[in-house]
Amino acid sequence: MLATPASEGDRGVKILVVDDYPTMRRIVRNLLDQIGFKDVEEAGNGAEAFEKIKVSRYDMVISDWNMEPMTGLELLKHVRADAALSKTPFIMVTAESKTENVIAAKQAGASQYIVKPFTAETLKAKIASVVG
Amino acid sequence: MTVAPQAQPAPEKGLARIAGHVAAISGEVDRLLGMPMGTAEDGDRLSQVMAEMQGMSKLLADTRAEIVHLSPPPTGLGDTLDAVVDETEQAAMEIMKQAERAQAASGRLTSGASTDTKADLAEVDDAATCILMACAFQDITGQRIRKVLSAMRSVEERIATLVALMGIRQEDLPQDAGGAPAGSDAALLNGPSSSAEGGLGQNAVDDLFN
Repeated sequence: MLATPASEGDRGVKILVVDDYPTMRRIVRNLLDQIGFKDVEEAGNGAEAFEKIKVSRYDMVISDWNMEPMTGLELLKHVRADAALSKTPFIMVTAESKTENVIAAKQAGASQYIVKPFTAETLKAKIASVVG
Repeated sequence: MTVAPQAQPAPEKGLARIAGHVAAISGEVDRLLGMPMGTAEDGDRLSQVMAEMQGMSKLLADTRAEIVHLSPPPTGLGDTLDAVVDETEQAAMEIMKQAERAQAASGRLTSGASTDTKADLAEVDDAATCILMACAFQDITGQRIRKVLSAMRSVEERIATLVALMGIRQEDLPQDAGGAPAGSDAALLNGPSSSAEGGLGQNAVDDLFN
């Protein structure tokens, strides 16, 4: 269990976790729960995520990259292109770890970039840096 | 020529077709070799042509033999890998389920909400044992992957032999075969990369990102 008290993270923050692997969604959800984020929803790809984002407002998106039919990078571009959503913090969590990937995500407007496999501490630190 | 049945998978059908063509050409060469010789004046030219045709015939026979050996092995390698994907997913789910059980029990113990301390401690212990047992997937999946690897290596060796036999050189190969155009989003879908393949660690990513 992480050292952070359960009350620290949650400030009514609603998070969308996007990954095509249910195991990864469950890992991220568990870590978020431990650091106090209880309001978490899931989507299995970029297209499903974007449908949810359009209907319901999220305070943060944590997304994988390599998914079909819509990738995390495309989802990020859609979110940044939509005036109502463009400020949403967006953390990319991906196995794509080449320099060109990191640069492309940064240029597309990702708030943070986490390489899989990651530690609980890394996820916590990156969330803290985008939630402030 | 053996006609491949319709139900066979595409690569096998393709191989059978190529093998068939090779056999047909080989037969044609043999037929030409068996034709009566011309006049004495043509003798030298004919014997030269014959030598070349014999060389071609042998090359085609060797190529055909290699192609026949390239046919996919009877056990489906794809099925074996599918089984690995299923087994690793099941194991991951089981490990997460047990870890969450331990977290819940330890949470009750830490917060003082536990109504039966001994039972909650036993729950943590039992969950840890279940996690250990679930890790047995590594043995099974390891064996399956090794089986696939050994089949792939043998196919790789046969292809190398075939390439050498046909005298194909590196410069004969088409450039950028099948890859996504450079600079496109699709070209960025590399999947996991080791550090040798240019994959960055979290610290290097942070340096680039921040």
